[in-house]
Amino acid sequence: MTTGTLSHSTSPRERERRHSLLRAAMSEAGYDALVIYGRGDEFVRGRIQYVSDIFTWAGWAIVVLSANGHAVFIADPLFGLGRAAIVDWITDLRMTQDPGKGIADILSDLRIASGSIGVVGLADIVCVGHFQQMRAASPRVTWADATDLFDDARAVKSQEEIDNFHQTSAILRSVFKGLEAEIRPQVMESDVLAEAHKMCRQYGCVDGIALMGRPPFRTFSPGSNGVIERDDIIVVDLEWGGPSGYWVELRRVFSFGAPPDPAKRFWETRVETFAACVDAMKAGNSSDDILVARDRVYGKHGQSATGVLNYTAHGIGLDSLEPPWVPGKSRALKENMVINLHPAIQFADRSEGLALGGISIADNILVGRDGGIRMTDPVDEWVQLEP
Amino acid sequence: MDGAGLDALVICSRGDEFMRGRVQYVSDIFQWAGWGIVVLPRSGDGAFIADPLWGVGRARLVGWHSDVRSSHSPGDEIAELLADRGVADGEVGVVGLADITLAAHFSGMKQVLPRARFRDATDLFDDVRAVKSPMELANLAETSAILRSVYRSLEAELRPGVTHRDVMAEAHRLARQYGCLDGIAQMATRPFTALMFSSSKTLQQGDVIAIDLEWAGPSGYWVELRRNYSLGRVPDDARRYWDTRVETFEACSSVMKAGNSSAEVLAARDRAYRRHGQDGQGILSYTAHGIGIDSLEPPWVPGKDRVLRENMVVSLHPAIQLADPGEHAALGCIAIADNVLVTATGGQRMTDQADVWIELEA
Repeated sequence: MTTGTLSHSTSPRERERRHSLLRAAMSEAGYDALVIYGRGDEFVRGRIQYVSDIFTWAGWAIVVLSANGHAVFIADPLFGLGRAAIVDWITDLRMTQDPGKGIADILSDLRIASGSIGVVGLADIVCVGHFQQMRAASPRVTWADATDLFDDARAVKSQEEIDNFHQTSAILRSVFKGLEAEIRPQVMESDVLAEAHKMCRQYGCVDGIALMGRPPFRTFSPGSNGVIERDDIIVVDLEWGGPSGYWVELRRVFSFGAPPDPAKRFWETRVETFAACVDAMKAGNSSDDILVARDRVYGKHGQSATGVLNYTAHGIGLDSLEPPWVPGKSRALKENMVINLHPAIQFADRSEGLALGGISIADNILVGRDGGIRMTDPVDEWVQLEP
Repeated sequence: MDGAGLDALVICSRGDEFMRGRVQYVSDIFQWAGWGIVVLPRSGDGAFIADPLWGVGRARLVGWHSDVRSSHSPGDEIAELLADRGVADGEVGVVGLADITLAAHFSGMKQVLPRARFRDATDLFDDVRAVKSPMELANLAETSAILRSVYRSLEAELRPGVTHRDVMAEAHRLARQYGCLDGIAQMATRPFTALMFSSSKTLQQGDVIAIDLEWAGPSGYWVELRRNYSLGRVPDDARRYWDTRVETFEACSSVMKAGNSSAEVLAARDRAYRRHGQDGQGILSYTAHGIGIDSLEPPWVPGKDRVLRENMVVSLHPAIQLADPGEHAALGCIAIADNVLVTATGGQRMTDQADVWIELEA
């Protein structure tokens, strides 16, 4: 029999670093434990992974992490514990249909049934029903939202985490190279993107999406049955959690032969905007400075993003969306934060939007002392395929 | 809504295969990630509100609801929508309050709508959508046909020396080529631990293989289908155990009759288990659950029982516990899963008409 890797394992040192970091934050905030809540959604799955290495494809999952270091994993019965049992980090694994009671039992076992408990995810994923169950089952507990406490602690990435990002980046570079052979006239969008899914899975990616846009750029789609034409501009967006679970969102633009002049001119402004935003990603700056840098370039070219709610930049890691995000949730940038950058833009002229709107760049950026550092593509190139 | 005296529903969802479908059911909008909400008044047009990261570009193309909004504070949007429809002080049913509505969003809604009376409408909604229409059944049949084709092609991939990861990657490619929206492909070989997404194990001559595909087709309707293979002749112990799985599956399916309780599926399972000295007592994992535009819908057993009605669709995968670790390693992932349609006379298989152990030439 041959054996294989079934699940990513974080190093013992990194595991200890994370739990210590959270214990220190708990101590400072006066919490006896954290109830860390996640769900099988790429925006809110990673907090559980961060403290357990357990990937929850679907359903809810909870880790109770006490200030003294004991950790318990609780899961939804449908997703079950089979995969969690293979991971050797948290050994106390429980399944329940009543997470409120499950948590009450754990807090009682830990002798903190009247303690102060931080709920990670109360701001963005804990559902009303489960929180009501928690309060009813543990009436003497003082509950507080610990979402920001947790997210701010994990925002600065360790070297091991940065290495994990680099692994995902390398995979997506390879997949994009492989896709160059798939993108050809008369092939269906869904066939190209299906091949992207296959390659990502072959490299061990745990989850992700592959999207494509072509003029008229109404939206990116997961792959229609429309066929690629020789005069198309093809934009492919890959957003994947690698084998370690760390996410990269990477976008590339293709054409057969040289791009048309208007598209090329617009692309050059995208490159300039992207570079300006990267420069602003300097430790000590505010994440809002990214929007200021973007708008400076837009001002030069008569472009605009005023009032656009879509995020221009957001943290990324074990979740594909982590704080900070701008506009909406600003933070002081710290060295070794990782930010996914994809400057939003709006077109007053609808026909211009349909012609150019999808032409864009997205990549992960490491916040450095002197500005951002590209994590996947060192430079942006419009990929010209042989006509 | 009429029956419950509700003026509007606030239907909440999340990009999770268990929780995404309620919004799809009333909007055709597929939300890969993040939260989404549909406000559906008893009279007048509905509206869709989404998380800014996921955005509303795809939602605008769908054309069911023309009022499509992106917001950081959905409570404010919901308040405005309900006020516009004249029901800001009405009875509002919240679909998902029990299982997905965010505590933070609900708190925001109550703050901006102090005169509205909110009620949990999760069961109300789920019970309505539990009985499938002919169009929904056709959608489920389409996904079934795709998974049959994917499995047929996968037989050529199962050969000594290939990694589990490569086989599963091919399943993903095929499912996506057929237009499937989302799904998982899992696989295991002896010694069984759990079905896994991506393992670097390689197949060997004589392997006993279990594959589980759980996919939403182009319409978004889900099928969970499992098949079992051997590279060469099926070992005797696996064959004997397989025969008991077939018998159990048939016993469970036969009680899926309109008017029966869903709990009777467990009773039928346990009767078959007793004949073979097997056990499913105390297992929390679901033996059967509703399936449709969410991969998990009520009823589920054990845990959320319902009277079965004609044209409910139930995913059946009888749970079992194998107390002996050696027995689990040898047999644990050998199982059957398929969608079953509830009819007046018993369950009707929706994908595979018969369960066949597939012996592949090595």
